[in-house]
Amino acid sequence: MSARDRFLDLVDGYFAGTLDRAAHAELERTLVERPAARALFWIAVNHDILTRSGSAAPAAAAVVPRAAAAGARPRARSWWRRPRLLLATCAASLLLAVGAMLIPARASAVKPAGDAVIATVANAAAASGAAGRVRHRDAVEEVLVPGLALRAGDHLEVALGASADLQVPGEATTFGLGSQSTLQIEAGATGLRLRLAQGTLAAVVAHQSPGRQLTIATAEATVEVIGTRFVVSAGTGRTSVEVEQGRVRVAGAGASGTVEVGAGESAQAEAGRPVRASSADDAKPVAWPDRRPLGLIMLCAAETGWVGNPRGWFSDPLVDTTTPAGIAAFHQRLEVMIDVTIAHLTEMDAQGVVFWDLEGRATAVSYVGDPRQLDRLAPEMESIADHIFSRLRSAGFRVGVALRAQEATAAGAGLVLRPVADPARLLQAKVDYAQRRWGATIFPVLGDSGGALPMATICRRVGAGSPGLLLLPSCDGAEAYRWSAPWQDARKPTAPNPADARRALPGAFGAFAEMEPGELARRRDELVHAVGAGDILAFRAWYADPAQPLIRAIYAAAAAARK
Amino acid sequence: MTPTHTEQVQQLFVRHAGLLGGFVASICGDLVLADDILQEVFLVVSTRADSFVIGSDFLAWARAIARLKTLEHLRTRRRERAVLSAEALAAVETALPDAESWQTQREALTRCLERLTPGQRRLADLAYVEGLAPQAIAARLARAANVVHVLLSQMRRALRECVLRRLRVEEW
Repeated sequence: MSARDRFLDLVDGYFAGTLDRAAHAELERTLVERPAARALFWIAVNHDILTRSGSAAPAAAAVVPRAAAAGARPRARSWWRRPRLLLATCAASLLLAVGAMLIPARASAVKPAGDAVIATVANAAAASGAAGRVRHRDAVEEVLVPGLALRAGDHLEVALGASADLQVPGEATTFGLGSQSTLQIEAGATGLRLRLAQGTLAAVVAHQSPGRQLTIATAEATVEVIGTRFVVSAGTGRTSVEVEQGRVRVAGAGASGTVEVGAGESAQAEAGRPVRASSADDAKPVAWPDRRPLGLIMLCAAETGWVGNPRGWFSDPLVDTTTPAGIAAFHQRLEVMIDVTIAHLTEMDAQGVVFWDLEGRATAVSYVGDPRQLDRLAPEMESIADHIFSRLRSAGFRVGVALRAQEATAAGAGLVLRPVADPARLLQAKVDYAQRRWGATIFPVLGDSGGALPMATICRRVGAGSPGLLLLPSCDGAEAYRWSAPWQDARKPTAPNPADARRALPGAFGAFAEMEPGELARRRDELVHAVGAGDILAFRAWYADPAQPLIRAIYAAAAAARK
Repeated sequence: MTPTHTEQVQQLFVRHAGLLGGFVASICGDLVLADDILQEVFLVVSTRADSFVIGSDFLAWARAIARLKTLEHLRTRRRERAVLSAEALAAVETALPDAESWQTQREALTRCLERLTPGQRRLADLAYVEGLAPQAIAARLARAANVVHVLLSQMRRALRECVLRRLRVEEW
């Protein structure tokens, strides 16, 4: 073996973690002493990044084969190392945000012969359990995992609260599938055809070669595209198409007509009705007639470090969620809290109540905003959450939970918030989960998306895809009022405020965060006017907050003024 | 739609992600860990985008962030493997390729993938496109697992030889 090949095997061994002490020292010595080795080192790194799978064991005799290396970790191939699977996690979020034309050239040139791979699963994410499944055309079923090759005839089902990204090999085309999406892959003579039975599909489509066209079909419509970026949502007899960039043609099923939709526009198709296009000029505020007060539940102290009560429940160090007896006592206390909350909601004539910190507050992330992770983050709450929400709904109140458009992921002993490829899809997945499990319809959206998409766009996509829910995002911009009731917190003011928003968009409204009695008294006239114009006031519902009578008085004064 | 400043910085990140990933991997000696660290680097790059002036040397700026993040990881986590000494790292960094050279290396690999024998191409598809483990490849090809290991090793070595030839890397 030449000295050069020996060196390359040492580099291989370095990245495999299989060099013994002598080999490691030899590698370092070569790098320091031989300039040619330094340049070759980077070629080897690049090569390793692109070609190393879990399989190819280093060949050098001095390098322990990876399979035999004690404690060697399994080497899942990651997005930036795979020629064809460049889109995932943060890179995907970025690419979706900046457009398909920026996807870097990939090293992939390997085209499977014969039974062509139409797409590969670039990313499949679920808070718990499998992200979904694929039923191949030969009836074999597989779990939806990154790296899975998809061919014509394959049928994908994304699980509740999960998502998946697909990448078309050889072109900069990606598809993001949201929670509970069902997709059939077909290949026609003139190009790829996807059939979306239900759910959401966010497409970034590279310009198709002449004579080829990508088609996305739902029960109500067919979307024909040459190259653009758009979102299709299908379900409950309705299909909506939101175009972010480029232009698509939407043909309604049967004889319901065809419309062309450009950037910033959307189209809706429903069975038996003509397909119709709408644009920003058709602006209307979110439809939510009930403007009664909204109760809040915030039970936890943050980052207490209490051994028995790490999530800070009831801000009480004596709570113990680490023993069966302690959990039973915790549940009993929750029952009492729900009794009290229902009494206050009734007294306040509230429309509903939102649980702000369902997952507890053990970490620096503060409010987690992901009920899909409840079983992992707060098992003591997981076991009683269904019962709690059921009681609140049985008492006649809407329910909701606070969410985030970022992913809270484990980092060491804590959590970190990470931007994701498609924050709208992530938020939709969380909404779907809470809707399905608890019948939740009101969702404060905390923080931002980490920059991947403006919050107004996220609300538009989630709001348009799920009528009958109220999003309360903390965000700026008049556009947000079309799809949500932006959260008004004096500690973090947003612009425009609801009064200003109504000048451009009559009927727009916001929701005011809980306030102290002093602030309510000081802003009384302003708030009476706000409530009269349709804004919602939130209040602490889990105890006898002295602010409650002041809010009742404000609502009464607003009602009197209307008369 | 004109990208915002942050989006422009993020675009630069994507353009250089492979090279930055390689840089991180060279420090931590772990391609899997490098993947995690690179995601954190992306977050820092995004949140600190305002401090970068478009038109200046992105790679130098991002590399500084990547270095700090990687060293932070190495300080706070239990080390599972040996990493290069500061002296060796300083040496390899002097030869860090620019984005164009990095891309040239990748293109060399692309060309070499095309030149594999049909059998090796099939193996490359299964291993790199479909991401199958050797056992799964063995099942797919109806070959023994140890045979697949050898074939993969040969294919990888053939690729390496081809890349070195294309890049005119001479024997020592």
